[in-house]
Amino acid sequence: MLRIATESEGTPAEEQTAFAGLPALAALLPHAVSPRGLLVEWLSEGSGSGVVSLAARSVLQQLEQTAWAVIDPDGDFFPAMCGWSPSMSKPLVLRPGSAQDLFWTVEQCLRCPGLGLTWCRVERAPPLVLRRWKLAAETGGGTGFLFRPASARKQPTWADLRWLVTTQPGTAAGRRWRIETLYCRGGFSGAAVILEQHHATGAVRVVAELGSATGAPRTPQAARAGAGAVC
Amino acid sequence: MLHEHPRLRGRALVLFADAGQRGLRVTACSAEAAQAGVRPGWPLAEARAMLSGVRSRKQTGAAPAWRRSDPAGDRESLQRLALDAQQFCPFVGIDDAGESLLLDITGCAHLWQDERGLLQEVVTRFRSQGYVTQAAIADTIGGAWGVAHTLSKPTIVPPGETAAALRPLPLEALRFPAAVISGLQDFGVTTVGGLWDLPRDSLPSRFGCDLLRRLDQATGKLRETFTPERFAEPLVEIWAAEEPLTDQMQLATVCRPLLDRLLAALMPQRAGLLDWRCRLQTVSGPVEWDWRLSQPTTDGRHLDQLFRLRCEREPLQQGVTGLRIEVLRAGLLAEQQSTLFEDQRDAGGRDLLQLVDRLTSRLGENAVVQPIFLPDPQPESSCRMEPWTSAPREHEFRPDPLLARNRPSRLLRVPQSLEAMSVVPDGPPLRLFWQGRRWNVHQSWGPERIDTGWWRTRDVRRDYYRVETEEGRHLWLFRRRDTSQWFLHGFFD
Repeated sequence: MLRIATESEGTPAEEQTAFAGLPALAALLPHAVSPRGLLVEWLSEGSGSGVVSLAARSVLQQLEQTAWAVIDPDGDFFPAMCGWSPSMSKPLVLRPGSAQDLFWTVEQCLRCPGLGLTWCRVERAPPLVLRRWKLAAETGGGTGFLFRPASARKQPTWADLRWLVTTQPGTAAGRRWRIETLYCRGGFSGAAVILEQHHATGAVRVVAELGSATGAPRTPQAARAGAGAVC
Repeated sequence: MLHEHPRLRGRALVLFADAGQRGLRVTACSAEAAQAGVRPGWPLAEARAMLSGVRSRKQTGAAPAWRRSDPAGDRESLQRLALDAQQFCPFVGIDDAGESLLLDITGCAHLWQDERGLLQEVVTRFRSQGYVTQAAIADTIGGAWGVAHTLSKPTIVPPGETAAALRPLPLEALRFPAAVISGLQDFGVTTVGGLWDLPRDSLPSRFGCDLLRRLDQATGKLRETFTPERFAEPLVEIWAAEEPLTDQMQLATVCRPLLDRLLAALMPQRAGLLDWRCRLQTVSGPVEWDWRLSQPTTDGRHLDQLFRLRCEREPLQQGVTGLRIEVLRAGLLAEQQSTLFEDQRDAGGRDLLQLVDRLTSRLGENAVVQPIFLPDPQPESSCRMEPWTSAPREHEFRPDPLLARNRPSRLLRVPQSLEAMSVVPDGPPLRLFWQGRRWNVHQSWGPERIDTGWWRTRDVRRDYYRVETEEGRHLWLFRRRDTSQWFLHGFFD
């Protein structure tokens, strides 16, 4: 009876959907995605692209509720985002010294049920390692974020989702990104949206796009998200 | 106290404790404080006034140090010294007052040629560690205590002459309570010899039975014993083989039953393994591995994993002929209400700590860290990474949310020098030359002026700018105000 009652109530992780902090991103997906066992690749070009802060904002609620780990092989991670919210838990920062240790560390973190989110900046990872990470994420039930260079789009992936984040010239109000779905398991890819983050408040909104005959196709969910909506 | 905190040396140090309705009282003080007039038993406020007056008159020397006395800590320190002193003789104890070490040197003096050699060795050893040492050898515990506490230089009382040696000493040499000493002094008795001259039968009714007991203990008429300090029984499991083991997996297989036996030995005390050491005897010499766990554990499988990970991290080049596993520290297991089904939150916390143990075992303690924020405006000093296993802080500083939004997510350990062009002197950059190419600045925010660090090695005088390049990248730059040189310090990734 206890088990039945527990299951009917549902755990917080089951109630959540992925990217709850940025509904515009969730709207690009063909269906609601659970964060449990999810492996996501964020592709971007060069340093200073803002992809990490964008990803952190998309899972802000998750970061406040669960433990999270940052694999930082270069040792230059600065936890500024811990100051965004007073209730955000502190990350477990890991600094593996070699590529082998890096692969092992990511797998261990993804496999651990006690971690809600694991993120790592990795340039190259063999397909076998990526496959192991995907299986580890499914075993652990957490979410894995991999930040990779845009050149990795030509490489095969075992991730459930692959975003391409392209920086765009910002305005006086905020900085902008174009986010495109390169791959989504069980759905179509190619949906894109332009987001703008306000400098002072940190709020992210969808930028209205002018109609274009050659623009990337958008899913019905993306259209529903609407232009100008604050996320 | 001075031994553990050397920076307090040379300063007037006063220990105090709460004396109930009498308020805070001085319990002990250093020679510097005593020289200024402070005495144990004084109200703390009076001692403060005395020392501040002396300091203001002299205008020299460091400020006095005030510490709350810690009798339990003192006792532990003395116990450690007693265990250390077992190198001189097997029976070393602590006196009733918890202030002195008692060494039973019966049959041990010849190891240092004679009693003088032994006494000299004891004094030299403790003085080399920074302790002020007073020592004496006598036939009885009371006699040695009295001589050591009243004569400043190390003294040996010849056999059978303890009573004669005590006779000229003051009454404090017999471990009497202060009230008894005061009462005797009212009668004009100031030395041990004077006390012995009084009729023995009349003493208990006037000063209590304790007086005669101490008197007889000092002369040896009443037998006195002490309880020697003992090392805690070590929890050790040993394995040895004639043929060296070269396969690491075989080694792990050998190690597992040893760990299980240690865990079984801890189980009756409801304790788990916290710190443990494995000493591997290899052909070329011994190798020691230490583990520090996040929480006490009785999970043999977890310990086995840690051992295997260590084998992977530090593969042994030589075959292993012996294995010795020792429990360095055990911890009580957390009490928890057992439930029919496992609570996922508890399981998550346990899984996380076990993950930390595994990661620490393979990557090392300094590679498994947590950020600690500090109220320092200098960016590289505002956050320090500490091992995850370090003790948590009660009141932790949190950065301001507005400031946190203006800090990059990647901060370079060493700022990189770059070229920048501005339209106006000391203005924002319009063009950057970095990584061999030109970057046009689309817009910039700043400056955020940071002037700090003058108390460290050198001043930090910087004007920080957050710049957006034409490609939309956000960089964090600063210009040194003293040299006008530009540096890249971080990325808003």
